[in-house]
Amino acid sequence: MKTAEDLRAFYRTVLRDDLREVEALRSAARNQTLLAILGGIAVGLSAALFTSIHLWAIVPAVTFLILTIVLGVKARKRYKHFHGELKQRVIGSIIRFLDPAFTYRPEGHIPQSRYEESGIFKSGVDRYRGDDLVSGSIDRTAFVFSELHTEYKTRHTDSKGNTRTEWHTIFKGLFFCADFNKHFKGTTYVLPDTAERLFGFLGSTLQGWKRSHGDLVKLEDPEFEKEFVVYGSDQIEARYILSPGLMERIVELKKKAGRKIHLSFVQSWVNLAIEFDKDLFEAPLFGSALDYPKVRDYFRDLQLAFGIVEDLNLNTRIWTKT
Amino acid sequence: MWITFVVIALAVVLLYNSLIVKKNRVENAFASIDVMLKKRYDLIPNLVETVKGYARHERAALEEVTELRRQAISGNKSTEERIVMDNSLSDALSRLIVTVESYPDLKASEHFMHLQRSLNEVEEQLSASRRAYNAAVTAYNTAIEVFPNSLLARTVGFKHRTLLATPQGERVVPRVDTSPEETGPTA
Repeated sequence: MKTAEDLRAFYRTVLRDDLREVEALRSAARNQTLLAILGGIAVGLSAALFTSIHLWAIVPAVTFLILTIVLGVKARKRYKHFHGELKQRVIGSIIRFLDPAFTYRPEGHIPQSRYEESGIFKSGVDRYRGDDLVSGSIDRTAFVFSELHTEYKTRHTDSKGNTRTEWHTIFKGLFFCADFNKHFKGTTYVLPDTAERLFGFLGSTLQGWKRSHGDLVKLEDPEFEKEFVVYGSDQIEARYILSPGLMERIVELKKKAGRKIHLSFVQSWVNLAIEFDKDLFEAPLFGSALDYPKVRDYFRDLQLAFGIVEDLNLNTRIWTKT
Repeated sequence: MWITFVVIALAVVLLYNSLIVKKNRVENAFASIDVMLKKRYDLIPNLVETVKGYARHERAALEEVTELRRQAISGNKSTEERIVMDNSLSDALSRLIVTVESYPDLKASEHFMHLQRSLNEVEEQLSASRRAYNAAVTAYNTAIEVFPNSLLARTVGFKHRTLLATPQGERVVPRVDTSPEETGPTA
């Protein structure tokens, strides 16, 4: 695995030149956007000022409007170009630097069928979005991950009969799937534990009543039990998967990520949903793309994903699954 | 008056049923250990035969494993006796695997490698079954100790169960050597 020092060298020798070009594209997109915003202000002002004096003054308002639309379309085009280049030349470049054999599709994402098969989130999805699909193999372990944002909607009708739609996030963050190193038939879920931590014994009893993910599996590692709650279709299989070693590794991974992690073991794959509140691998339009700290953030988030195979010891193939 | 009686009777029935459920979970968990042990017993003759072909000098270790297996599957034994026997078998198997590590031809054998993987798998499943058993026993013991369950448990004669200790061999991480340079035949 590449280190932060390797990245610094890579940044100096390769990435900085590409970033300069991407930065120029960003500046152009930003300027175009500012122009479109100015156009929008002009439309508003002319509509408010002129039309109150003379009706014919609608003409400059319409002219400004057309101009603003043209500027807006151009700004969007430039932004898309900048965004595409950032993904290919910066994110793609960092991924290839980590391993040239990995495949990266900026517009791709984990298919909804796989997200649903993972069974981690049981709410029905009304809006499914994602990007930055990366796939490949680390030694003997095949993996795929992408950023995902899934939502469901609710509709409210007020007393006047107006209907309002609200969107609620189910999951936002990094969704990672890898081939697990042991055979298994059932399903096992490792979910963040909030009930037990907040309500102690009562919370633990409540967990036992929850049936959406199967039966509660009480494990013997206190540190693991403090962070996670486990449900599964088979008590023994859940323990076969979650060996004492793997439990420790999952706790370590949670500490390293510093985020909520959900796991599921389904159809011989392990799925991890790591919650992020920010958009991953993106650069703001208003702010330099050249910063080293930003590149370091991309690298860190990518390394967290690639590191999962090693962190969970998935390349240890000493059982009948090779 | 009779409503109070019905409520108490219902509570006793519910308590009794919940204790029975926990007791049955313990029995089931113990039965699953048996299933895994049987799987391990079935693997041993095959393993012994394979090792014999390559490592003729390890007769003592092979005989020890064979003898322990024979003792484990013969006759009626108490739970404690069987646990002690299975732990000795686990230790003898780990010792045998460590000994045959020094036979490169054997290590290179596909058949041996598959057996070793199967053995690792069975050992890990066995360990999972033991842990599931201990979890079931802990839940059962807690249930019969807390008030008012303790009164009922004492009346119907539910007894405290003992947890299984982890055998020495299970604390050692098993491995299968698959690196080509080490699995090649000796010169």
